[in-house]
Amino acid sequence: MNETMIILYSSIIIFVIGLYGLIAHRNAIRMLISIELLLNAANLNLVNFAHRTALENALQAQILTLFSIALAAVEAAIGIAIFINLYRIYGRAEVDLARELKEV
Amino acid sequence: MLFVEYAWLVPLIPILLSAITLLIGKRTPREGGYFGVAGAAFSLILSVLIAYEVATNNLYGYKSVFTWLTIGDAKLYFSIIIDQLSIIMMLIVSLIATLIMVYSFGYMHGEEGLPRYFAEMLLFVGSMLILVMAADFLFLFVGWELVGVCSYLLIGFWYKRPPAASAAKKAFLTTRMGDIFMLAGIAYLYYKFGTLDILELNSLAPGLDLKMLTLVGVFIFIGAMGKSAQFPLMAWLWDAMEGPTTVSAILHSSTMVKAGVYLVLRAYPIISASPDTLLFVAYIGSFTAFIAATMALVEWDIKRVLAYSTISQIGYMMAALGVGGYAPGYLHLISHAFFKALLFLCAGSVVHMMHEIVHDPWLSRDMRYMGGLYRPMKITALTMLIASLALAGIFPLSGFWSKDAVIEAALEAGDAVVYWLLVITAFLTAFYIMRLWFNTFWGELRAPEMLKEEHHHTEKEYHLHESPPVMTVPLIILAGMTIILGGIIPLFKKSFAEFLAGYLEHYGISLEHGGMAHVEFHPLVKGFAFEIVPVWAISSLFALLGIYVAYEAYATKRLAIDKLVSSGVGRILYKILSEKYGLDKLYLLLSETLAWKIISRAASWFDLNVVDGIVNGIAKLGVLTAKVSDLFDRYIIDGIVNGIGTTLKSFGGWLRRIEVGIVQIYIMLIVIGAIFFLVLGFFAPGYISSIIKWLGISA
Repeated sequence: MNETMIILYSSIIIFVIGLYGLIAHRNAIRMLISIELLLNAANLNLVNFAHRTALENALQAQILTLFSIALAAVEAAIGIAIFINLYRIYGRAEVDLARELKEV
Repeated sequence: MLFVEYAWLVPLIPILLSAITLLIGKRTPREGGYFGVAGAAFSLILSVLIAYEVATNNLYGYKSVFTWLTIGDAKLYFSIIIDQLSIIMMLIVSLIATLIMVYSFGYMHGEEGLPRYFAEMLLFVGSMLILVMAADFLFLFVGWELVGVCSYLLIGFWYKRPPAASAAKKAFLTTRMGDIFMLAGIAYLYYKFGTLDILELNSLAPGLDLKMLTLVGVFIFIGAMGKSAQFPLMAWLWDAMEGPTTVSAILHSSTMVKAGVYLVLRAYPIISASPDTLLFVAYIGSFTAFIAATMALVEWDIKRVLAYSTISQIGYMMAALGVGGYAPGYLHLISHAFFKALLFLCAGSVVHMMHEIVHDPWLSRDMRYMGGLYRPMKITALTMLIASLALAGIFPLSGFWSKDAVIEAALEAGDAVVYWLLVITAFLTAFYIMRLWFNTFWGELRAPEMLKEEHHHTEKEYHLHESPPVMTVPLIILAGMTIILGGIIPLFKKSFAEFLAGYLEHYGISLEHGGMAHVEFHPLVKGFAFEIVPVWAISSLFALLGIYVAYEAYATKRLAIDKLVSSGVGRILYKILSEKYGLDKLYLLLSETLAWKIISRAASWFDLNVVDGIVNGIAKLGVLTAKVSDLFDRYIIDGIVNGIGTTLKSFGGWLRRIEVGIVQIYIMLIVIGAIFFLVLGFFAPGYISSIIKWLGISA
């Protein structure tokens, strides 16, 4: 088992943990963290493959990773803002509370 | 520049001014009266200029053509002609119209609706000028009908009075009877020759088969009979007295009733080509002259006496034309135009004054209320005497020469019936017109005793007075014209015949001595000569006799006419005459049974059953079609639209069950989808690549 495969497997593990966190919990903060895990698993994959290819391809992959991290930061900021409001309205930050637009 | 090139302005200006008068007449002084005088005077001045120019440059037969419309190969024209016939009529019509317009200032003063009056008078004059100047039958017919419409409007000027309204209707409908025949005659000519030009048809029509030629001639003459109030289409003219007297004056002297005579003059080659038609014209004319004169004998309405006399005098003209007296007929038309206008205007002057005494439109025209008006109304009385003597045919006034010429024409043609009818009518004419004059101006005013009898009025002082100068000056001018014509006619009789011959010579008709057209007569006419004494002596004798009898009966009262008519044969005769031979009753009967009971009922049945049936059938068909299309619309079109809607709705209803609003379930679905594709890719890789290919993404 070489280095690449190890990183790949750990990436899968992180991804599956994130997926589980996303599906199994309704707490908004937990879901936000789980999404962060999903993103980071993908980032890890990108960096892993970039490491093993030629320089110009590697640069593209690494720039994409940096974008992804920036995106994750933005998403976290917006997400936190929404969830704080959610908490203010319902007293809890659980996403299934916000179902008022659904037709009964 | 030639004035004759602007001849079309002669009828156009009065018609334009008529429209202007109607629009702004109310705001001008005399309520449009000045427009009336201006329009007529313009026509007069231009006519005089044209006449002078045509005479000096010998431009007779000048034509100006305006294409009205083109239908395929057929072209319809409005064309006017300035020739021997039209130029004289233009002068007469516009001169008399001008005088009557001036007279109207006084006569119609203070009437309601004056702008309408002047507008209609102007249109009347303009349309008569169209009729006179028209060079083809279509344009002539336009003028012909316009004259009819205007006389309808003017006779019914006081349309609020029922007799006036019904008289107007009667005039319109009776003349229309003649017009139908005339139109049929014209239509046949157009069908046969493809042209409406009168001058062309005048030379073409005599080439027709004699039977058809007679029929066409008689049909055209029946049109003239309607307009000129000849027997039996005459009953409208005495009812037409319900209009203002000025209207009667213009209608009788120069416009409406002269149109028929003018038509016969204009289409003379067509009419004279058949001896039968000529005989018809002569007999109708002389018979009308006679019976109209007899009706006038017993009439007490001053205007109606004059109406009968017009019918009678037009009968003279027609009789003259029927026996070939072309120039005498026209001559009598000219002299009659002046003295008849004068008679009516004098009668108007009398009626105008009488109205202030009796305050009733009917009684103010009744001669039984008049009498002794000579002293207060000297001008009216004297001018009326001149006109009456002219009508009676007394030397040396205009009527003497023209009536003499007519009777001479009858003698020359050798027609005994026409001759004796006309001679006896000359006696009757002199009698009834002097009866009118004596009853009006002689003796004492009878209004007070008549009114006292009927209305129990107290006797009061009447303010008898002459009419204002605006009315008497036209009277004096017309009286002067009558006297002057009396002096001119004998001098120019021969050159007048030669002048008119210029029109007829194109058609191979020559005018011989005395203006007799050289035409073929019916065999009935032959073999009569009465040359023991000259014609003028006979007719003068009869006329003087008539005047003497009238004098004895109504001035000196030595001849007890009342006794004569109150017993035996006299009473029956009086009854027949005052009932107008039952002509009015006959008309009523005809219109009631024929028009009302038969034709209108048949028309009503046809309308209710056939026309309505067709209309209703079409409507029902429409409803049926609408119903079918409604069903199609409702079930097929709406079905498709609703079907799409329902399908989408049920699909959406089914689909929305998975949209529960719980994020975790969506994520689960994504994961399940991803796993599905992973498995699919694992077990069937070709399937994935075929999807990719189908999407058009090259690997």
